[in-house]
Amino acid sequence: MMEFTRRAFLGRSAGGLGAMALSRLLGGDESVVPHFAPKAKRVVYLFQSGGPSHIDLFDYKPVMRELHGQELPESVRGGQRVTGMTAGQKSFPVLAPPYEFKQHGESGAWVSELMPWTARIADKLCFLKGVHTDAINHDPAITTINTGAMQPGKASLGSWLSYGLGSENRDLPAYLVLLSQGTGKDPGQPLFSRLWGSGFLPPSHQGVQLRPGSNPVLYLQNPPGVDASTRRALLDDLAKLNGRHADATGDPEARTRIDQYEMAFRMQTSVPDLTDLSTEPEEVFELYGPDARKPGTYAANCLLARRMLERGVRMVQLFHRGWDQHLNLDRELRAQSMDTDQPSAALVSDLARLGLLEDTLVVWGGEFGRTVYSQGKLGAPGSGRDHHGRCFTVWMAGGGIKPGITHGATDDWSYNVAEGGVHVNDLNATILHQLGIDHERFTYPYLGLDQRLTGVEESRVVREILT
Amino acid sequence: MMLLVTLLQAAGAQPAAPDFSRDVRPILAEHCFGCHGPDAAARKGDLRLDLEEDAVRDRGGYAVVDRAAPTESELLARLHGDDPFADPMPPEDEPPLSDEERDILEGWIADGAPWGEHWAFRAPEKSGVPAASVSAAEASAAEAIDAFVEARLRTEGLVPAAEADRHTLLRRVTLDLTGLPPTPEEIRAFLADGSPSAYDDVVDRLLASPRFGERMALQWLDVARYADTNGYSIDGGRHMWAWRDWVIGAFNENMPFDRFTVEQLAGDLLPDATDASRIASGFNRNHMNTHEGGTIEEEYLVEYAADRVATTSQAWLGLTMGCARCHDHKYDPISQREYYQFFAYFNSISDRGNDGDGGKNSVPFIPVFSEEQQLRLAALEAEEDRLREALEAETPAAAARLAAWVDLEASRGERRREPELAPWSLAGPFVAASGDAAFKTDFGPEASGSAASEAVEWAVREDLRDGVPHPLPTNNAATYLRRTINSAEAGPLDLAFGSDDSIKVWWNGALVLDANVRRGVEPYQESLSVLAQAGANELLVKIVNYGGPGGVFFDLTSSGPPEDVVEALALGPAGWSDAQAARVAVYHRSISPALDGVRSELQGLRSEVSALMAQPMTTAMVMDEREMRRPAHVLMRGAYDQKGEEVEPGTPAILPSLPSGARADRLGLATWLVDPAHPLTARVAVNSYWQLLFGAGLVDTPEDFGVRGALPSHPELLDWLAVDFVESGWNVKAMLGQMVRSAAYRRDAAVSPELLELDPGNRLLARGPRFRLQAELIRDVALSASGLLAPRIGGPSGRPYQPAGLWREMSHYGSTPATEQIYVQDHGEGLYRRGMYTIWKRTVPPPILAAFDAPSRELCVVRRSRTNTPLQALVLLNETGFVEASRALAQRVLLEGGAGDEARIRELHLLTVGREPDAAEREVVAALVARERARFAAQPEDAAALISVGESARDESIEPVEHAAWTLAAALMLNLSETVTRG
Repeated sequence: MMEFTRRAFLGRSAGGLGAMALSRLLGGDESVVPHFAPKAKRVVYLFQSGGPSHIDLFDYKPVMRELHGQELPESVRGGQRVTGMTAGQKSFPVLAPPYEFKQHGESGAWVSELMPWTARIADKLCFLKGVHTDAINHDPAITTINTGAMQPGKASLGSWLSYGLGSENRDLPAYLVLLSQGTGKDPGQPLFSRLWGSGFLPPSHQGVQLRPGSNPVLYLQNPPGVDASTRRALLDDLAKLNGRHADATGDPEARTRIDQYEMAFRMQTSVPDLTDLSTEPEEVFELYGPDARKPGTYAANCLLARRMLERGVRMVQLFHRGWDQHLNLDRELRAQSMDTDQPSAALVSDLARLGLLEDTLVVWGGEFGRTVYSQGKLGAPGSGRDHHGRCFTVWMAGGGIKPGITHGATDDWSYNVAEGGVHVNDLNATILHQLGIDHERFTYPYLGLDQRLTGVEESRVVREILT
Repeated sequence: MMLLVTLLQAAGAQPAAPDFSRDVRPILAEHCFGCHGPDAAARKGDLRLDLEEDAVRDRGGYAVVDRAAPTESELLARLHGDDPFADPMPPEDEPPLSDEERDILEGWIADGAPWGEHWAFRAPEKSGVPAASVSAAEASAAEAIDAFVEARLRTEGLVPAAEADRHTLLRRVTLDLTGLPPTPEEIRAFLADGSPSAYDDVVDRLLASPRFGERMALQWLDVARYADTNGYSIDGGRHMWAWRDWVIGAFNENMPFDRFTVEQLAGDLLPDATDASRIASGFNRNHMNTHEGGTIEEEYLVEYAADRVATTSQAWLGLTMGCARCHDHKYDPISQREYYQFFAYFNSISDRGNDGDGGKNSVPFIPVFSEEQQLRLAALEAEEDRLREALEAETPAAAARLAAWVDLEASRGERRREPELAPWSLAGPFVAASGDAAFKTDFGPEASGSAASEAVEWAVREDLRDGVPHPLPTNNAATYLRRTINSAEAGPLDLAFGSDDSIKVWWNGALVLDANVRRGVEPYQESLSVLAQAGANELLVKIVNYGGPGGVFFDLTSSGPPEDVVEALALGPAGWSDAQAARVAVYHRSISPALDGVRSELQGLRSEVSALMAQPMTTAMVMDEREMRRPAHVLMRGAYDQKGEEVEPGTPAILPSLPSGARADRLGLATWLVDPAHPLTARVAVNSYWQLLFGAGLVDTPEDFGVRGALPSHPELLDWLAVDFVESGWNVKAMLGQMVRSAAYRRDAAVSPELLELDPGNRLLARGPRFRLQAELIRDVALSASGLLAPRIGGPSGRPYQPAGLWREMSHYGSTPATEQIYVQDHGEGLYRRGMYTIWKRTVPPPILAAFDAPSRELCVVRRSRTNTPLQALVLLNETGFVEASRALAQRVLLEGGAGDEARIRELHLLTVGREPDAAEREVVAALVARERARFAAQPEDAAALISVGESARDESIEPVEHAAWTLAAALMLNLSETVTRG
């Protein structure tokens, strides 16, 4: 196998020579990405980890009020498997959302009272009500939606984009990841680096995590006692010796290493510049909400995401934990919504204000939804909802997606897709499509197969929602 | 393939007539097999282009490949799209053939369409060694390597480079065989050694070093997906370092590769299985396992078996069998049914789908004892044997005592009225999420506090006789036993129990015994005294088994002889069978007052053994076989709940058949793998050694020797080495020793721009191999150069510096019994262990190693990437451990490097890049030291800050400014491309 010395997020790919194009020069894949003119240049994925309750937030229908307390009919459940957590439950009573829903905007989208800020931007959003996945537990579900397969080992969406499209900023990685913990359920379900990992793709395409604090990228800061000028002088010495070594041996890696050290040095400036929110005006903090001043919160991450997108980062992915409301639905869901509602909406508005929404694809969603039936006794304060993969809601905005529409619908119980089903692989095919990529032709050979993000089964681009 | 074609063209050589295996099949595989290949479900037009007979057969007046009339071949018509009645091929929506590919197919058909079996499925043979003065049989492997490599170079018109200089060679071979850089002493000794055997002697020394085992184990850890946590979502801690120690030891003692294979695949099934071979079998327990709540166990049992198939087939066969899990393999002749036959070898382990929470290994596992413990155990066992002999000695005195007792009993007449024991009733099994949960959970009978509970169904079990252990046939579950004991009078009763594993006992509703233990069942493991009331007494027993066979033992010990002994006594000695005579003797020994002393000694000894056994040094997950075989089915689309036909264990038909009489289990499979006639095992093994030494395998897709994998760069050499490996008795050290003795290995790695363009990957080996060190070795070089390296080999993983919160921000801390959710850094030795001992959490792999392309260890990896990124620069420049290493390296040079800057700069170079500096390098380093001296003198607080990084003690006698300046010089050296590269 060739050695991937490609400058994944190096200056050399800044001129638009994507990594795949480079790979073609090296005798790799023949396909050139993008395959066609993209509608979106970048993606921000607001991943809500744990499985937000679509029923309590977006997927509303008045008839559910009448079904409250009734047993979920066997015909609706259809013998579908349930997790080990409610498999032993003898009764599956319908729990209507204990929240007020209203229709908003010209589009008339139903939004729960828990999401007042999102409600205000409903006309900018496209709600996918019929998203579905095959898994019923966190690990396989979150791995599927992020990498296209339940089994670990595949490449994540962001790493595919880094691999295919490279970076537009010579000082920042192509794929950045931000984590936050919700106040609803703390800790939320675990996250794992495979969710932004590169799988079989070269590791240089994995997501780079940006963390709150003085070292936003691991080991970014010089050691104590070493200032920038000392470091600069050391790098000059290093370049001198590495250059001599490269000359003497012809080793191209030594030459590349000089470039990488330079990029590291630039990151020591570009990353703190990126994460320094002190230059943001007061109204921005008002827009994103008070949490935006607290490093590491979802709100602060949304604001950071906007700054990354402004700088041309190809994909920004937020992972917000705590959406796993098996228990204490009401208390936890209110808190999770409080954490995320205003900042998510703010990000969309902010991108629109800056003219970036047009070519930035925003995706909001989790790995699955939650059951219409109560986990635990109906009405008990500690009760909640179990995992539900047969339908859940994802919203998208910008990046060539029709605003102010709802695509797909569920049945009266919000249990099965009634129309407009979108498998999570269809969702990923659609995201790739907006970036100018044909998911069927976007492959990487590994283990004797042409691997692709959308797996081996047929997937489709949800053309109905495209502008 | 592509690369070689390019090379041939670049070298100006015209490709000869297309070779089927090299040129034709890859095109057919890439463009045609998807619909006309091994996958029956996807096949179209009733055509298989992977089978010669199908491609050439008469299809009613025409053939796809017509050998008699090549131009009439339908394949050509379809390729050119000039069959007016049929679709052109490939179909329009599939990638088209390039002109070059089309030419190859045309040329091949015109040539009569010669067919050939895929090279990797044919057993390798030793062909003649080209242009060598020795015959194939007599050539050493090193000679053969050079003969084949040089013959190829001659064909390409390339001249091999001269041998690398001695310090480069020493650093190369030392890093390759031990993973550590040579010490200055070793460098000086080698440079001074003028004998012709100097290099050979170095190789011998390195192969004998215990560091060799570590280095080889490091490569194997990726293959074996070794980690210290379970993976999946919760990713709690596990304990498998005993297996890692076994691997290091196996390499160090040069265990033959066939034995290495058999022990790891089936060490539990060997007739002479030992604890060590059982630990070895843990190879296939290194896969991930989940303990996420809500898990459907069956689903994950399938995942675990599938992982064993994927890993085993990659590690030994170099095949991507995993591709056939959901459908027939698209390219290689492996059907989905064959996949599940292979799967059947691995799916009947007594493991659980949801296990391993709370820091305990998942079942099955065995205790592992320290050397001291093993010695103590052996001593106790010897003592036990001695006592048992004393107890069972058939002396005249013993015989006389027995006879007297029998007489006495016979003369007793009316016997004491024994309690009446109703037969046992049994309820269960009751399965819970874990053994512990089963132990804690009341499944019904406990709640009432009485055996009378009718919450569960009881079955009367007359067969459960007292005084002998009985198997409980279920795995991993709770079983209840109850009986009524009618006593004529109130008074004490002594009860004895044995259990596999844990046990609770209630007497008349009160809990009287609660022992959460793991053990096999033995008679009289627990004894207790209860107070019987006159009339009915209720006895309730709960046994919880954690894995493997379960069992129970019961005896009433305080009363008179048990029923069968009473029967025998009534019969009189003359009427006894041998078994009855033995039974009476055993019973008598258990009560004979003359043996009281021996018995109590034995009892004391046993409790000491139990205490020791309860405190093993660690445990290790192992393989086993369930008592009741778990059947294997073809699973539609690979889904656990879509079962098709049931299948028996078996191997793919394309590979040699199992020897007749082969066992239908993993031992049979392992034996089959190491059969000398097997076409893949030896090739895959020698290819992995080649990759370790040359940076890439002769087959540079080591994970895929199938039809879509790369062709070997030197096919005859690969085969020669594979055969030689088997002939040597699978001698690993000998093979590596030969490879590093070859001229190909020893060449100078410098490369001209022309050669680099011609052969960027060095597939032709005109130059020596050069590549960046793997992650762990970069750490090891820094630790070794600085003198910080902890010398300890093996043992539990260490926890070096790590930025705070890395685990916590992703883990399930605080809401799970799982361990390893929050990182707790070591102090002292654990900070300075080799990279291979860094604690490995799968969901958050060690950040330093991950930066340098370490895999997550979630799955088997047989080849790592080698990227070159800015994040790597940040690690080497700023990470606490590397900064500390710079500081310690500076200290070492200042204290041991002689007097004066020049001597110290020399020492610095020897310690890091393994050679003397030239004038320009000396100048750069000297200028740096002078510059930083001045700066630190002006800013002493900076000097103080820099030299206080890390927890190792600093020699306070060194002047801080001087120390800080040299720390930066050392950092410069540790960051050099040359230092992190093995050239």
